[in-house]
Amino acid sequence: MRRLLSPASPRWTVAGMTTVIAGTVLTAGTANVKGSWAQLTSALPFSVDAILVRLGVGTAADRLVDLGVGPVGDEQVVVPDILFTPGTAGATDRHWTYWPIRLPSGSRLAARCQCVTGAATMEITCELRESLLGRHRQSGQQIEAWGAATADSGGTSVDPGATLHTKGAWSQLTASTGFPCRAIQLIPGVGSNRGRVYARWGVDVGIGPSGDEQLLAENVRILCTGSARDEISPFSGLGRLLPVPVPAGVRVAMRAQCSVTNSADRLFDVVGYGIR
Amino acid sequence: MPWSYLHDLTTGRLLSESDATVVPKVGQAVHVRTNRAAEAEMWDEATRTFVARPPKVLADRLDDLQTWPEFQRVWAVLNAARRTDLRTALIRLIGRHRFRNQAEPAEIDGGEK
Repeated sequence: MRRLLSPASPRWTVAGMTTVIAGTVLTAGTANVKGSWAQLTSALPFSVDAILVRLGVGTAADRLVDLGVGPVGDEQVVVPDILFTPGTAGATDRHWTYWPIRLPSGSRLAARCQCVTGAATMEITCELRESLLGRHRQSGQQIEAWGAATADSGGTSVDPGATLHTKGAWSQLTASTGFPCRAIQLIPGVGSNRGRVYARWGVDVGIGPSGDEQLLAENVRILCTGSARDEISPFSGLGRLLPVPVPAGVRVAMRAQCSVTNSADRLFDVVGYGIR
Repeated sequence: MPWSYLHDLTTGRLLSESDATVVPKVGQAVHVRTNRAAEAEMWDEATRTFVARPPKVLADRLDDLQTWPEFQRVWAVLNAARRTDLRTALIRLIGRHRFRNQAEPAEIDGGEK
């Protein structure tokens, strides 16, 4: 007789959710300075393989968010400088990013943020998963941010140039990656330019020295819906994560083409992340 | 820290940037500056250098209202004090939707895709 075995369902929970179904409030420090850590959970209930981070409820100002683990006063950043740039209408709850990173059971999880406006607030919740989404086979151990501009709580500016639907110049995200990466994450932002029109971008990611960039990913689509909800987002929340390996010690750059040519609205900010 | 900007010699089109020394290939040239170009600057293919990016000018929806005949008829019968009251109330009402991109319609969310 053949016995059918059902694997135990992977566990899933939410950290940082309050009793009124709001997120944990993060308060930025002075302008462009990280604020204090806010606890999302005192102890992870299981070993986490992936985190789905939701950011929302903030004014229309650029922010960078850190996720960290560790006891009070000794938090270690595990996901640095998550770019969060609400559009003109302020934050929606549509800023989701997926991080395939392993965190040990029992760890305290916390978050903090900085904002171009001092003492600005926002909210965060994290879905904690004991398994990975999609075809990612292994969660990561380390994440580094490429191109975060902590001086203005934004990212690296990418200019598609004045020619419609033609790739612009490569913008450097990092001169040298710190470790070999199995995947990269891209988060686009408005770059403090709000009141945008509808626009589409096709984004390339490349590695190598200036003038000899080799394509890693081509025509990753990002979108600005324009009108009041003019934040910039990728085509889908999980579409930011690209399963392309990047060696250690290489320069990473991005370029883009755009559906508009006006010199302000064709620009966007971006922060890249290498996942080990 | 100096930054190098690689561009095409023939067209002037900007190709790439780097904070490391860049050796141009045949048909390319490098423009070096003492710091990275700010977002307020943009590459000019004619002069092969960075120029100031034109400032973005937004339109005021209060100015849009002034062009609508139905609003003009109401505005015309108000005295200065009532006009001020109406303007103040409208600014409160439309809040952050007051200023719009020049390419967008005056109607709030009117051009949403």
